[in-house]
Parts: sequence; structure tokens; C-alpha cells
Amino acid sequence: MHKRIAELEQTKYAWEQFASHAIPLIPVLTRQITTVIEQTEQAALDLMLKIRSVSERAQKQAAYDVSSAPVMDVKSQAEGLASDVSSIVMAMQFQDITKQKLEHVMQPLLQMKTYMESLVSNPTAPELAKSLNLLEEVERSYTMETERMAHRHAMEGREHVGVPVPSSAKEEDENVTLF
Amino acid sequence: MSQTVLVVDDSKTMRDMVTFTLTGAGYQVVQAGDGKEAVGKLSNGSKPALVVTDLNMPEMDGLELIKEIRKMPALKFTPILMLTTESSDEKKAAGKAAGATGWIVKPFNPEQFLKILKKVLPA
Repeated sequence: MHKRIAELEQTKYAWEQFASHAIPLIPVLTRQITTVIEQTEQAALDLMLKIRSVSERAQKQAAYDVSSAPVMDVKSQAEGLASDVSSIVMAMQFQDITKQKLEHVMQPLLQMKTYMESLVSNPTAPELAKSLNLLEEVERSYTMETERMAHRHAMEGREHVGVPVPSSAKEEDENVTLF
Repeated sequence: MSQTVLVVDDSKTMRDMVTFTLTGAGYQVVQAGDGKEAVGKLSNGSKPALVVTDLNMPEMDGLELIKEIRKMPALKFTPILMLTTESSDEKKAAGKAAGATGWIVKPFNPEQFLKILKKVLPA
């Protein structure tokens, strides 16, 4: 009887340990997914906007008599088109960025699954809980400042206000370091 | 003759975006899906004018790739640009120590990217 009670207490402890790690992780992962949703939507909107701009420029050019159009007009249209294409290339990179963010959400979910499976098959193994370090591990997996910021905000319980997307030339320059 | 750039990234979308930007500016591009594949291509005698590589990749990451490239006498001084989502100063310092020439945080702006290429490429 005492042995059974001790086992049950160990099981309860192991599950409590798991819950104490998993519960704070859930708002962090939710926040990361929210930023992915926002970023995907932003990229789709940017693409739509730039495709519309390219289409308008193409219509204007089709209506142009290039031989009599002022050189400055033709040059400005070409520059505008190049800038639109650049913006499209930038927006299309969201796939790689959001893929990485989602991979960083998947990793702790898979760890939680493995841990729960271990608990179910061997519920009286208290050493299991010691191996669990979900929040620290997920934080270590981040590569982007936006991920670190979303993590901090979720941990501090701050209201979600969206993730800043670099847009100005100054911010773009900050993304380049030559050694 | 146009210069050749080796583009290394495990994301096909990224490889294609970089290739689109480079070929549009007159460069030739060789692609590799990770560091190991890149080393294989370089070991076959390929000598690109520049290497653009991601950091986190399966098989061999960007830092390991740079170290391998720097061991190759013919590529000891070839400019290498990291193009990655990683933005921490710690990782940038590791890139510099490994022998990277520069560090660009994704997403890249094509116009700015081409300007940087011109800066680091030998004339």
C-alpha cells in the first residue's frame, strides 16, 4: 500500500514538473505562430501591391510612344519597375523566414511528445523531469531578433502589438556587416 | 566573361531568389543545397569569384563550409558572404573568425545585395 502511494506521488510529481515547463511555453509558441501569420499576411499584401504596381507600369508603357516620350519618363518607369521587382523578391523570402520560425515551434512540441510518451510508459521516473528544459532550449534555437522579441513579450505577458518589419533604407543598412 | 557565384542554401526558394537577382545582373550561378554539396562542387575544381552561403543547413553548416573553403589554397582569399536569418553579434563574430567577408541578414534587398557584391568582388 505504501509503495503504491509512493509511486502515485512520484507520478504526480513528474506530471506536475512537466506541466510547470509546458504551461509557460504555450503562450510563447502561440506568440511565435501569431508573428508567422502576420508576416505571411504582410508578405501577401506586399506582393499584391507590387504586382498591381508592375501591372500599372506595364499598361502605361504599352500606351507610350517610346520614340516621342521624354527620356526622363522612360528612365523613371524603368527605375520604378526595378524597385517593384526588388520589393517582390524581398517579400517572397517570407517562405524561408516563416519556415524557420515554424521549425523552432515544432522542436519543443516534439520534445513534449517524447516526454509525455516517457511519462506514460514509465511514470515513476523522476529523473525525467530534470532533463526537461523546454523554455531555455526554445530560446536557444532562435536565429531572428523578431523571434527573441516575441519570446520576451510573451514571457512578460505583454500585449501583442505586431512585429516590426524593416522598411527604411537605414534599417536595411543595419542588416549588412562587412568585416 | 561573367563572374561565377556559388550560392549555398538549403531553401530552394532562397537559392532561386538569389539566382534570379544575380543572373539578372549578369553573373553566372552555381547552386548547392548545403555545405557538403558545396565542398563537393568546389573540390571538382570549380573556382567561383564569390560564395554566398546560409548559416543553418543540414549536413554541413555555413561556418564549417567557410572553414573548409579557407583550407583550399585557390579559394583562400575568395570573398564569402553569409546570407542568413541569424542576427546575433555572437554568430557574426563566429562568422568573422571563420573567415567570412561579410554578413547579410535575410530578407535581402536585391539592389543593396548587388551593391555589396560589387564592393567585395575583385575588379
